[in-house]
Amino acid sequence: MELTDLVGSRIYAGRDVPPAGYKPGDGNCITFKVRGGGADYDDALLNPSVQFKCYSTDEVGAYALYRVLYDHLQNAKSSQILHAESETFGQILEEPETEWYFVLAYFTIMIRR
Amino acid sequence: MGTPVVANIIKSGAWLYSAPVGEANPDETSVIYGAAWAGNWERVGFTKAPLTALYDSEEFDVEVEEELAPVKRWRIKETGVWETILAELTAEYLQLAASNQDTVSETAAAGGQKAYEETGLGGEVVLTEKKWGIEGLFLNANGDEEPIRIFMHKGTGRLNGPLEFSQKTTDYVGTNLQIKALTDTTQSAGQKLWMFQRVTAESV
Repeated sequence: MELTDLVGSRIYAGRDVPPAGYKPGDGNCITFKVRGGGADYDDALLNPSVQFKCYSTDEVGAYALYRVLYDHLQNAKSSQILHAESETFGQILEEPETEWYFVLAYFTIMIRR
Repeated sequence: MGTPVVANIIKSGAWLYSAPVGEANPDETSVIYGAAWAGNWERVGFTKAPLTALYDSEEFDVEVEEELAPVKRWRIKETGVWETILAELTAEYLQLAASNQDTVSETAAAGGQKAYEETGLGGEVVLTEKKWGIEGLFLNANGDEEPIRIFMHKGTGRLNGPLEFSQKTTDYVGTNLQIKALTDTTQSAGQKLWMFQRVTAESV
């Protein structure tokens, strides 16, 4: 299954929470942002640690979305990505203010500059 | 020595070069810091670990019955060893690390043929001697970027560790390169392994 089958175009980069106006009833969404990491010794590679949050209307939907994200990212490779790896399995959480369900996950992604 | 000089404190990475034995050193005036060395010098590509240059020696202490400490000391053996880890894994760099045991054959892509390179290891007794060089940065008191260079007149490469292929680490495959100096009998005593050079100021 493709991620876009579950989220459409609602993948938001550089964000901790979805943009203003979004509600889970609009459909699933994913936010991601770099939370740490650094460059390799010779600056040829970047090794960011990236936070992903998978939002849905309930816990089951959020985890289902996370599983598809995991399948696509774990051990992923492309011309730019040398390696991607899950740091920890996703955790189901609830936003304290909005009470939206989401799965919090972290991946380390080794990227060619 | 004498008055402390802050500008003499160095913070720099380094590039590694290799060339056939006997190659002339890059000119200290015309080959500026960061420029490609002329002649047959070839820069070694990305590295994934610091470049270390170790000079070490063994000494013989002359002791006499009448004294507690040695009365004289001689140097009886010396070694010069450079080490780093090459970040790029290619047939050429593998051979560089293994002292060029074999040639590298390259086949170009063609119809029904993928491009590939191939080389071998094992069974070659002779180690290929090369000249080696290091270039780092010296930022002088005027803010001029000048090179610090070390030349090893003659040395051999050694594959100094395993190639580690792993999917489950955040590291990638590196080629451990160790370069061990040979004495250059054409040089003067005191200069037979290395020459250190620091360009201190621009020409006037």
